[in-house]
Amino acid sequence: MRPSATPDVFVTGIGAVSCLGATADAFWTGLKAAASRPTPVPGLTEHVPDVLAYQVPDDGTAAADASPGALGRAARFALTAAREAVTDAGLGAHEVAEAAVVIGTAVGESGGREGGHDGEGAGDGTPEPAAGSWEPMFSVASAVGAELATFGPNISVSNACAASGYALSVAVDLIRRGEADTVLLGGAEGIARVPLASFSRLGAADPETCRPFDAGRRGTVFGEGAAVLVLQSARAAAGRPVYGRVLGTAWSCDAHHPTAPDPGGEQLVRVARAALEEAGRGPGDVGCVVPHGTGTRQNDVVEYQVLREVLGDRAAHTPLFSLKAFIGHTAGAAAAFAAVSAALMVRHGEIPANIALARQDPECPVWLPQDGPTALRQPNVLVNAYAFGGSNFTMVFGGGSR
Amino acid sequence: MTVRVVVAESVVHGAGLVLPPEGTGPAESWFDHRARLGRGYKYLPPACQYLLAAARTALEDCGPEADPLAAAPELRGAVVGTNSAVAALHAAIDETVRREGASALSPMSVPYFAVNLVAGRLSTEHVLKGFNLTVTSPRVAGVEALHLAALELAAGRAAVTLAGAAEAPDPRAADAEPEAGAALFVLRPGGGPVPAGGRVLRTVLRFVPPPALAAAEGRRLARDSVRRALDALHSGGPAPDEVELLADPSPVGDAVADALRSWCADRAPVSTRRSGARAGALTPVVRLAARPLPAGAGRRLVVTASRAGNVALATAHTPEHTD
Repeated sequence: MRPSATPDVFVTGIGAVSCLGATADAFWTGLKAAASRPTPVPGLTEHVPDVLAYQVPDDGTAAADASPGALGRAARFALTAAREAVTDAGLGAHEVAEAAVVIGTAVGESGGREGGHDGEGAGDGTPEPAAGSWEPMFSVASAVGAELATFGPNISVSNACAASGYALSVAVDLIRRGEADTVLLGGAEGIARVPLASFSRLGAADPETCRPFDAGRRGTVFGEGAAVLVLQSARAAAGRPVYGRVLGTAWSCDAHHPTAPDPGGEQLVRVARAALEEAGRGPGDVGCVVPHGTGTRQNDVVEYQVLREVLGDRAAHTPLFSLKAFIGHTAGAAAAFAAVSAALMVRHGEIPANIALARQDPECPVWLPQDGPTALRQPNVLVNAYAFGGSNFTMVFGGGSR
Repeated sequence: MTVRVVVAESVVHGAGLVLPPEGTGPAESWFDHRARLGRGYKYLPPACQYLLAAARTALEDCGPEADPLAAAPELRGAVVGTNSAVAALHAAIDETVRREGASALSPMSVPYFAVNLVAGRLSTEHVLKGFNLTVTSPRVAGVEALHLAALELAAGRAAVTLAGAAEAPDPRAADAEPEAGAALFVLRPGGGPVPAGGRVLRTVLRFVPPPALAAAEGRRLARDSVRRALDALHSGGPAPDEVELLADPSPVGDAVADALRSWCADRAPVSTRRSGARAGALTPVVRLAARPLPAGAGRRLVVTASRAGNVALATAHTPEHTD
């Protein structure tokens, strides 16, 4: 394939807060351990009994790193992950001050607006009035920018479960246009009643575990947390250790249905091919795929068909890493978690073993190595993120410093 | 600061506004979806209905000879900014779940808890397959949408993009004025011909971290950031004829107001008639969609500053030579 002509965008730092712990190291250790399980959600179980979630442990690790004040749950996660990423990249105060912030989130601080906590709420159908100043629902990016004192562009992206993928595309463009040398790019989501109850109502919530590509899957299981990456131009990344580069990104829209993917997968194929083309990579260069893989019946089948179309005969021999089986569907943060996973896989040169399936769906004959780590034979990871509204995103992450 | 200020430019080929009559209260009904849109739109959130109606007006505004939908579906995009489009829906879902459980929710309306479905419906309606982006930064999301749409057009990822803002009253608006309605533009790449009745939009996004304003250095950086944005926005062009500040009462609003007044001192007066706390991102786009200034008359400058730190600067003008 031809080499990409677009300017390089490097990943120089990562941070993660998830059900696996409050650091990127804990995240990787948790992926290797493959032992996570979803749990009932306090305050929701009595209203939606069959809903579970992969929740950030309430051991104070994430909250302790947050500043005091009125930060919401998603913002606290994002800030903790952002601080870890900034430290990991070794950014100085001047670089942080000039940095842009781009955060994807599906529902922002919706959880902080819920009624019924601590005995609140009239219960008569009237939304509770809010006192004081208006608190916007989508304030995660601005909260991170405020706490870290960044003066660069600050953008909040809310394309549902592809939000941080779309944010990643926006962030890459900021660097390629010269609008920023450093971008704190991420996704954040706090468990909230509205999306969990809505998925339950739509029959899209698995009451046991998140098990993409399993024949017995019954829907997705949400997770929460935040993943942040420091993206830098070649000039800003010079002299730093790097995880790799964002080689290509692309997005498209099905324009088909509010919640279901286009069964033809035309726009999903287009977006994957466009990302590969921008990356200057072909099917044979892909060492691993982190699929969108939510565990909903139709999504997993369509995604397999798309991979078969894009990778051709190589699809059967290209390992997939089914991330949501470990941390649940983190919605707007999902693509950022996938990007952090890709960075860690490239750094360690291996793909952690997938959580074992009870029985793989014969309609989704993807290769999910389950018997131990698999060597990453090509240092390029393809990441998919799809969302309600037909929002489609694909990224190619590549190893190598220059 | 070493990184450059990027000005995004696009050409407006059509505009659509759907707004409540002056003086309408946030709880009052003012939009007849059946009359404006026809059958099949009943279960959509009001902000989505407003947006679809605004899109129809904007597309009609382009005229029959310049059909924006003639471009290939993969070269048609949508970028919409909102803060509160589904805030009332979230409150209603939450209340229903608390009182009756999830089984009482309407499967027709619950998918719209995902705020991007508001713009998503726009893509389905007009077969916009290039991209569909929803941005949500406090107060500035509408201009943010225009900015990113212009950059996508400049990058060649679309030939035409529908971009703007849609809001419905946030039931938790607190001290802020709720917003309702939609404002949508049909945009084509900057530098292209400007049709009769069209205009040129130029936008810049900034951020002023509120805690930094407690120190002199932070205030200097904020002032410089706004001034650099204003300089870039007006580089090579005429001074603004009309300047409008839409700022929350806040340290960020005050800092931006000071920088703006200083920059405008010998150029144009700054109007704060519409300033004040608002729970939405619609008003700046509405002001940019207002009747354009006469060709060659100068620019309308709209500056928006949110308490959270987001700042957007935008101009609209009509060049002397239009198509």
